[in-house]
This record gives sequence, C-alpha cells and structure tokens, in this order.
Amino acid sequence: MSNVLFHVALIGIAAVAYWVWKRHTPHSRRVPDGNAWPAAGSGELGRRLLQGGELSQVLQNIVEGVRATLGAERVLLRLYNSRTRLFEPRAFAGCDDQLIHELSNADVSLDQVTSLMDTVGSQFVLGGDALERSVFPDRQLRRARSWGILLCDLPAAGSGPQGYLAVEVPPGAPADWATSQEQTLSCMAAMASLAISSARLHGRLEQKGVELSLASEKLKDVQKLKDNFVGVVSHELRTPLTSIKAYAEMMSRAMESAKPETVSEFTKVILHESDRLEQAFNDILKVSELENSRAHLITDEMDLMVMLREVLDEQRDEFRQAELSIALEAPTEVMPVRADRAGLREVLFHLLENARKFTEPGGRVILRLRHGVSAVRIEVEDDGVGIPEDELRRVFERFHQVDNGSTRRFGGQGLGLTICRDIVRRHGGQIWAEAGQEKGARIVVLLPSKGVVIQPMQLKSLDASEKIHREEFLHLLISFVAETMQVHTTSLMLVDKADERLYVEAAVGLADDIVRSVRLRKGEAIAGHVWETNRSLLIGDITRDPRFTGRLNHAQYKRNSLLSVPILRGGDCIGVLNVNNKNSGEDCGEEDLLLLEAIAARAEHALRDFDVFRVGHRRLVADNAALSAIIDLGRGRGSRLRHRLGGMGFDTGRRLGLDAAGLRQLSLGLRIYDLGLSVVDAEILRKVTPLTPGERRSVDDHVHAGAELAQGIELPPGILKILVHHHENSDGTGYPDGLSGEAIPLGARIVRLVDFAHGALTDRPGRLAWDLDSLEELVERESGKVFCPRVTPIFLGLLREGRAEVELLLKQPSETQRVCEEPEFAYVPQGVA
Amino acid sequence: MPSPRVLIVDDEQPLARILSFAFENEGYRVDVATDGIDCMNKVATFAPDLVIMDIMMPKLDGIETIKLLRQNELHKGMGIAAMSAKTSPSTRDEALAAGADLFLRKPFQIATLVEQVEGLLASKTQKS
Repeated sequence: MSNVLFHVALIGIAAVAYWVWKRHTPHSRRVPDGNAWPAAGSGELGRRLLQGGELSQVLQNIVEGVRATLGAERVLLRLYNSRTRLFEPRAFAGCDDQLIHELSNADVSLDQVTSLMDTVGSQFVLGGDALERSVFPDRQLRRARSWGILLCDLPAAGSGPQGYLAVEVPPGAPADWATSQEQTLSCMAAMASLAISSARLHGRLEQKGVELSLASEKLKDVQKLKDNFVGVVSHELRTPLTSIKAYAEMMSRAMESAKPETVSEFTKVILHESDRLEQAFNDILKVSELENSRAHLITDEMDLMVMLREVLDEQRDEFRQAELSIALEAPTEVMPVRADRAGLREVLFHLLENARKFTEPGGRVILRLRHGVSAVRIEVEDDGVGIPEDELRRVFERFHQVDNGSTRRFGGQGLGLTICRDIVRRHGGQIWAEAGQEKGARIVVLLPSKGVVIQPMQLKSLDASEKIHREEFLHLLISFVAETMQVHTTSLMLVDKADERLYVEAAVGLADDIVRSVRLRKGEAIAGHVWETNRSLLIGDITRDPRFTGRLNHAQYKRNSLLSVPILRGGDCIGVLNVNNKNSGEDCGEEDLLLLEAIAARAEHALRDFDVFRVGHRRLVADNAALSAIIDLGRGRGSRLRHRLGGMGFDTGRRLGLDAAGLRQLSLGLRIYDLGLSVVDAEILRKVTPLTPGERRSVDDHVHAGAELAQGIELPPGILKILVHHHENSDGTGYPDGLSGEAIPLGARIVRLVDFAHGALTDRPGRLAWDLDSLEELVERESGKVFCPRVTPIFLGLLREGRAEVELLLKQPSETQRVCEEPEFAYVPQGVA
Repeated sequence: MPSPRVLIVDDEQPLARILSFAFENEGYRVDVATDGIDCMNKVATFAPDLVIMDIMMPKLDGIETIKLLRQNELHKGMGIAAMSAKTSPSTRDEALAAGADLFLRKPFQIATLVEQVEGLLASKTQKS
C-alpha cells in the first residue's frame, strides 16, 4: 500500500517538474524570467512554503501565500479525494465562517472539474466572461460587481488534477487582471503541488518517526540493562571485597591478641572470598565476551558422556563438601553431539554449579540425558529451594534480581545461567527452567545433535532480514532432508552459475570448513559427477568404486555407502543433494534413493518459491530504501543553493538543445543524482582523512547504488544513465566506466558540473566552501578535462548572471553542511588532481 | 551501664561473622540475623539498641525491614545503620527515607563503622 502511495507521490513530483519545464520552455508563449526553478521562486508563497511542515499547515500556507502574493480577496483550495471522488475544501484564506460553511457543504465532483477542463483547457485559468459562460464550481466566491475567479489546477500523476485553487479577484482590479495573473498563478500552482506532495511524503515520514521513537524506547531498555549491569557488577565485586577488607583489617588490628585458630579461620575466609571475587570477575568477563564476540563457534563431533564425566569429576569434591548426592541417568554409554568444546564444557559446569548452590545439605542432584532424533536433551534437577513460577523465565536474564528491588532470591548466584543461555542459543539450541518433580528446580537444555551449517551469504544484500529469512529457509530445508532420510550427514549443493562451480549451500553433520571450502568443477568427485550426468548415484561402497577412489575425503564417511541425486529444473541440474551415514547404521538402498529423488523434486519447488519470495522481498526493501533516500534528499540536501544550481543546469540543458524527454530526465536527475550516497556509510562520508581504497570503492559505488534504488521505483532508463554516469570525466578519467567526450550522456555531463559546483560551494568534512571566483577558475581550467567543453561556458555564463543571488544564498547558514576546524586536507575532486 | 546491644543483619555470613567479632571486641552484646524476617524476630527477642542492616537480602530486603521497624512505636528510637554494596545514590536515599540513621557503602573500614555506631548510640541516649 505505502509503495503505491509512494509511486504516486514521486510521479507527482516528476510530473510537476515536467509541467514546470513545459511552461517555461522557450517555445511556449509563457516565457518567464530565468528564475524558473520552482522551489527557488520568490514571493510570499515561496517563503511560506519553505517552512514545510504538516500537510494541513502546508495547505494553509498555500492559500495565505496566494492571497498575499496576488492581493486577492479570498482564496480556496480543494484537493481531490480518490475515495469520495470529490474535490474537498482543505484550506481557506479571507473567508468568514458563513462562507466556509457554505463552501464545505458544496460538493465539487470530478465530473464538474473534468467538464470545466474540457471547456477551458487542462490548466484552467479563467476570469471575467469566460467564467460567466462556463459551468464553474464554487459560485459562493462570486461577489457583486467585482467578482471573478481564477481556477488553477494542481497537477498530479498523469490523469487528472490533484486539486485546484479558486481565487477571488480583488475589488477594483482591471478587466484583464485575471489573464495578467495567469502566469504567476500557474507558477504558484506548481509550487503548491510540489509542497503538497512533499508534505504527504513527510506525513509518511512521521509514521517512520513513530517507529523510530519505538526503537529509541528499546534503546532506553538497553540503557537500563546496562545500568543494571554496572550496578550488579559493582555489587558482585564489592561483596567479597567487603569481607576480605574487613577480615584483613581485624587481623592487622588484633594480630597479637588473636588466637592461632582465629587467625587460621580468618585467613581461610580471606582466601575463600578472594576465590569468589575471582569467580565473579571471570563470569563478568565471560558474559561481556559472549555479548561482544561475533566469532562463530568451532564445532566438533564429540561424546557428551565423556565430557560430562570430566566436568563431574572436577566438581566431585564440592558436591561432597556440600553433602549432596549426584545421580546420572543416561540411556546409552555414548552420546555423540556436535558442539563447541569449550562452550559445552562451560554450560555443563554452570548447570552443575547452579544445582549445587541452591540445594541444602543432604539433597540430591539428578543429571538426565536423552537422545532425540535431532537433539540431545540435558536435564539437571535438584531438590533445593526451587524457583518461584513467575521467575522461571527470568532466571536467565542478566542480573534480573536487580529489577526486583533489593531482594536477592538467589543470593550470589552470579552469571552462570546467563552464560549457559548465550552459549546454548549460539548452538541453535534452547534452554529453560521448570519446577522439579516434588520440589527444587530443573534446568533443561536442548542441544541440536547434528550441527546445521549454512554457507555464509556472499551476496551483498541491502537488508539484513533477507539474510535471516535465507538462513531460516535453508535450516528448515536441510533439516527436513536429514529428518526424512534418517541420516547423520546430508548436504545441499547448488551450482554457482557465475564461475561454474558446485558449492555447499547448507549441510547437516559436516564441518564448517568443509562447507566453506568445497567448490567442485563439473565432473569432479561424486556430486560433480551427478551434475555432469544429471543422474542419481547410489554407491554401495565408495572405497571400492573405481570412479572415485583416491579422489575423496574419506574422513567424513562413517559408512561407505552414499546417495547423491541431482536437483533438476527444466532438465538442467541446479544443484545436488547428498546423504550418507544412516542413523540405523545400515547402508543406503534403492528405497532411500527413490525417497531422496522425491525430496529433490520438492527441494526444487522450495528453492524456486524462495527465489520468488526473495525477489519480492528485495523489491520491497528497494522501494523502502529509495523512499528513505529521497526523503533524505528532500530534507538534508535539498537546499536552495542546490535548487538554484540545478536550475542553471536545467537551463544549460535547454540551451544545448536537449529534447523534451532529455529535459524531463535531466530535471529529475538534477534532483536525485546523489541518491546512491544514502547507502554509503555515513562515517565514510564524514571522514576528513584520506579514504582507504576500500572506502573509496564504496563511495564510487554510490553511482550504481543510486541507479539500483531508482530502478527499484521504476524510473526511466534515461535517468538511471544520469545517475550512473554523473562522475564520468570528459577525458575518460572518471568512473565508473571511464567514458569520455560525447559518449557520456549529456544529462550526466551537466549533472557532473552541477554536483561539483554544489560540492565546492558548500562546506564539507575536512575543508571549507570555496568562493565563486575559485570555482569559476577551476571549472574553466578543467573544461575539456573533467568537464564537458560544451557544458562549461553555458553553465558559467548562467552562474555569472545569477551571481548576486547565489552569493546571497551562500551567506545563509543553512547552506553550511558541517564546519570542520582543520581544513588541512584540501578538497580534491575525483579526477581533478 | 549495661553493654549496648547490636543486631547485625546480613545474609553474607562471613561479613556478619567478622562484624560480630569486631563489636564483641568493643564490648557490645551482639546477635546476627540472616534476612529481614529473621531480623524482625530477633528484634523482638534480643531487643537491640541498634541494628546494622544490609540492604540486599533474600525474603525481605533491608529497605522494607527498616520501614517495618519504623512503623512500630517501640522501635522508633532504635538506631539503624544501613549498609550496601549497591552504590547508586538512590539506594542510599531510599534507605535514609525509609528511616535509617546513617548509610555506609561497602566496602568500609570496620573502625569507621564502629565509630559511627558509637556516635549514633550517644546521640540516641542524649535524646532519650
């Protein structure tokens, strides 16, 4: 929905630009002065519209402005409402309540306005006799003797007017007043139309603002959590420190008189509290490490039972001291899992420690293990103090006890469970707490037993959510294959069309490094063979198959039989599904092959559906990105100076004989040429030090990004060319394609110069704005090198003509983008040095 | 004059132990409570002249305990020294607002605590 609105609004702007151009083209009989750029227009209306704001405010500004500029008696503005199909009165100037009431009750239908347009033309401006003869709306504005109405449409997207202004002629005005004001009124209608479109855009931005403020609420939560963190860290560290200090103080004061056993007791406490301090310290470090690190886990195949015994042995003494019994319930002797060794050890350690801390002497702790199809279930149950029901979910939250005022229900529990939660989640597992069978608590961990590995996405995506969708999709798909086939190992390989290689897109039971590194040529190894032949393979014993002996990595095959089937789309192999190591330990057979082939067909459907989804999603993201970028442009960079220079660029194009289509494109191109900068990291744009080659590349790429964004909203190809080539230099030294001379589209050559002039005349990070003389000098010097020799003389001529006005604009503080105090790095435009 | 009675309320057993050791050394009669509920019971039976109260405790925290004590006419004049490892100014303000006579931030010097407790008891005796 919002996309549709946005298209309409944008086309509205384009239409206005075109319309303004049409009015001001030399061939038209309405030739105004050189000051044709709408937003740089003067007069009361222009001043009022520059204030921007909400739609209702903008509309009010329009009618007040029109009234003041024309000296008209009363002004009415009606906007078309596509739902009611009526032109609804939206703003009044100079009207009393009675008149407002009458005007509000008078419906103006689309038919009425259309028939008016048929009579007097599409930009209807009429007065005097013409008005008398026509069927016109808003008769209420007629006054005895000195009446007359100017109606002026506010053009919008293609079909019809988005509204109109009705203006009552001032008393005593000459007979031809209406016609004489025609031009001014047309120009004002254009400005009004633009302002309305922009206010509507802003309205949608408000919506975004609401979302932003919600996000900032979330930020506040994070801040609160951080405050809690500081508070609890402080508490966790201060508590043992208080004891250490107190015991040391007493020992130093009462050393001589103290009994030896007292000294020994005190020393023990100090040592114990020091250990506690150290533990608190380690926990805090661990938590912040887990929070900050984005490094992936190093997963290995390992036996959970072996590790559990090791951890139990480490804590056996503590359990004995706490007078707790511990029981282990496991169905098998071996329990293979795929996990990060250090992480899993940490989890087991904290689960046991937690149970030990909250169980009274004489209590028991039970460790229960179970092996599901795709996950291992680890339960640690105690019969200690237990966890109140409303706390069950919160025990994993960092420092949640602080939220509960000062009551410490789990005195000094540290951060163990938080650490467990973080590690388990990073394994793709789950952890929760529940009440024990009779009393006490039970912490349950589900750890995926077969690690799903997904190829990190190489493509640069505009949006992180696409990445998440992809991961979820592949996770589901590959788990589906593994579950259905009942195998330990399976992989989905896809053909990379660009370099004709088969790579692993997702896998279960394969090591990360294999997933990342395998890239097979056609015919290479088993999957490559399947790709080449388009035929499934069932291999009883790979070690004996003469086709593959000596060409395989045998370590990954626990069993020697495997299946490999092609994923076919229209007869082409787009990928390969491999499975081996059946859970049952048996070899793969014909039935497995049939099943996997059926799955491959479904996988093809799923992949295609996902591609469709992905295209749609990208489209959505592109639209949103373009919308935000244009709003940004309108807000931050749409300065009056830029509009004025844009106007000069436009006139340059006109004088160079650009045709109607070319001028239309130029007009829009001049507005949005740096659209792509919105996707460049703002930090880079603000940098005052020289850019690294990588940063340089990302800035240079903005020309393509801009074109991509524009493509997202279906702007004509001519505009895309301007966006892409507006950094090409006349002598072929520019980017992205190193075009030269007339090979560069004329519009792009003009934008090149306008962009440069605007950049030079405003402060930028690292340097202050240039004055007009330096700009002229440099442009002249670079004419034929950086700038097109046909464009420069005309543009410079226009610049000299408009010099006074530009200088005035330069004095306005709003033109200052950012003042940097150290202009030590001279601004060297690309290709000028 | 009989020895003044001090009740130490803290769930941190090592700290409670060393504080009672210190105050006994100074000639006080000392008892220890491990949480707010325990404190309310001990106040009834032990009748302390002064309570040294930790803030963060299980079951009933220090702030609530102080409020309960102050609600009781009998304990209006009792000295209360609050202490906490929570160092935010709000904890201190809450404790004083609830009715504590002074607030100490952990860790502290035992000598300072003893000094402040002596001063507090002296001022209470003068008033009464």
